[in-house]
Amino acid sequence: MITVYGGTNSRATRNLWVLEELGLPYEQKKINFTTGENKTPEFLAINPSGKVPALGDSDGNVTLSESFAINLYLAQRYGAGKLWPSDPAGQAKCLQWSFWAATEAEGHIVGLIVEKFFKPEAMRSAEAAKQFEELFIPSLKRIDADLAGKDWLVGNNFSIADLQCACVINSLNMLRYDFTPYPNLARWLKACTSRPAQQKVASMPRG
Amino acid sequence: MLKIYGSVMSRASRNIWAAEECGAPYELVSLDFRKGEHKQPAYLAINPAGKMPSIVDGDVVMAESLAINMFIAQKYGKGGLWPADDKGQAKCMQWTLWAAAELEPVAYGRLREVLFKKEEERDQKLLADLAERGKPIVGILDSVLQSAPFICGSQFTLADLNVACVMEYMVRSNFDLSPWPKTAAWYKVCSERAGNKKVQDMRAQAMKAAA
Ligand SMILES: N[C@@H](CCC(=O)N[C@@H](CS)C(=O)NCC(=O)O)C(=O)O
Ligand SMILES: N[C@@H](CCC(=O)N[C@@H](CS)C(=O)NCC(=O)O)C(=O)O
Repeated sequence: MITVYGGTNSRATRNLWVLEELGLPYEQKKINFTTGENKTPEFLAINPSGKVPALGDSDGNVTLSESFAINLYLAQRYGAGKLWPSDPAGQAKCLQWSFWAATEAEGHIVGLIVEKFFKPEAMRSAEAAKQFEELFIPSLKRIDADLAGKDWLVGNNFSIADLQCACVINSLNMLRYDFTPYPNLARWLKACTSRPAQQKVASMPRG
Repeated sequence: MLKIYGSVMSRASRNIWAAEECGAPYELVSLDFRKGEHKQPAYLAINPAGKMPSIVDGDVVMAESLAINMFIAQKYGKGGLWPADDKGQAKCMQWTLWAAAELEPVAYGRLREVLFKKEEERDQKLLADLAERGKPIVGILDSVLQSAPFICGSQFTLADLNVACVMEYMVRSNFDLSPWPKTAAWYKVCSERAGNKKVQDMRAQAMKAAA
């Protein structure tokens, strides 16, 4: 049995998206990180970082954390020929894009969202927001160029590479971010987020 | 054959270390930062982002240093860098992403300040803030190293290698590991491995040639 720890107010949504894509049975424990449920001894035994999400898989006798790593684990173990391509060249690109999402996109994008959305208005800094945006604009350009003339990042099908990048970039929609300078990206993002699995996760009750 | 593109001074060093650990035959295609070789069309064809490192191995073409190490370990390091069991493999993925998402922003933030600025120009407040942010992060690694010498247990794996390459930025930026003796000892063992020694030798040579 697969157990996801974390609610829909957290990065667990990206793991739920994978589980729904693959149609895997799972249970969800909505550890609420806003009320400190993530710092109880029980949860720290599952993830010593005290962060959600985490995943338990009794089949593999595995417990792991780090949202992108959980997605790679699920894709490799349960998604062969679906989210995980069968050719080594495609698999390598899936690894590449997962780390690209983590190192070249997520930090800067989350930085902007915190600055413009989560911080109390009085503490927001337009200067800091601008700096974060300048850091991720090259990444938006990079992925837009890569998507010219193609539907998906790797091969001819939606893969874990698309999912990992889309979940990060889609978070900019919280800010009604304007993607018109990046038409390939905008088209691809819409295709990713219209998938039934993502629609299902997006319609789950928040929390 | 595995071709690693980049400078030994860049994150390509991570991939050289991994290839050395696996005993994988490889060729290093050196790119000179100062000549902007990573922005030339020949290299942009391999990595349009114009960042180092990238690799080419048969029909595999990829970038992102830590992803490349996952590829190298999975292809050349089965049973060694890449554990044979599900549990170990999952831990390697988790800790590699932990290195990328949790440790690297702090570690690289510090290194950048130290590497590219003269001592008197460094933003000491930023360095101190990043050191504060780094403490609980190092503490998490340390909690895992209480019960075993390496992240997955008794054996050095990709998890250790990838976390150690990023931890190197903390050490090079003078973050003091001594409050975490297990982590300090672990880091010493990792950095003294033959594969990393080789990288350090290559770096020393490159610096000599550049001087
Ligand atoms: N790099 C981690 C980040 C996890 C993370 O920061 N999770 C947040 C919620 S989305 C959390 O648990 N925060 C509570 C805390 O840091 O104490 C991942 O990708 O899983
Ligand atoms: N996330 C990437 C970062 C790569 C990166 O920033 N490489 C540096 C050298 S270590 C670079 O090529 N910088 C030149 C540039 O950004 O133009 C990775 O881990 O490979």
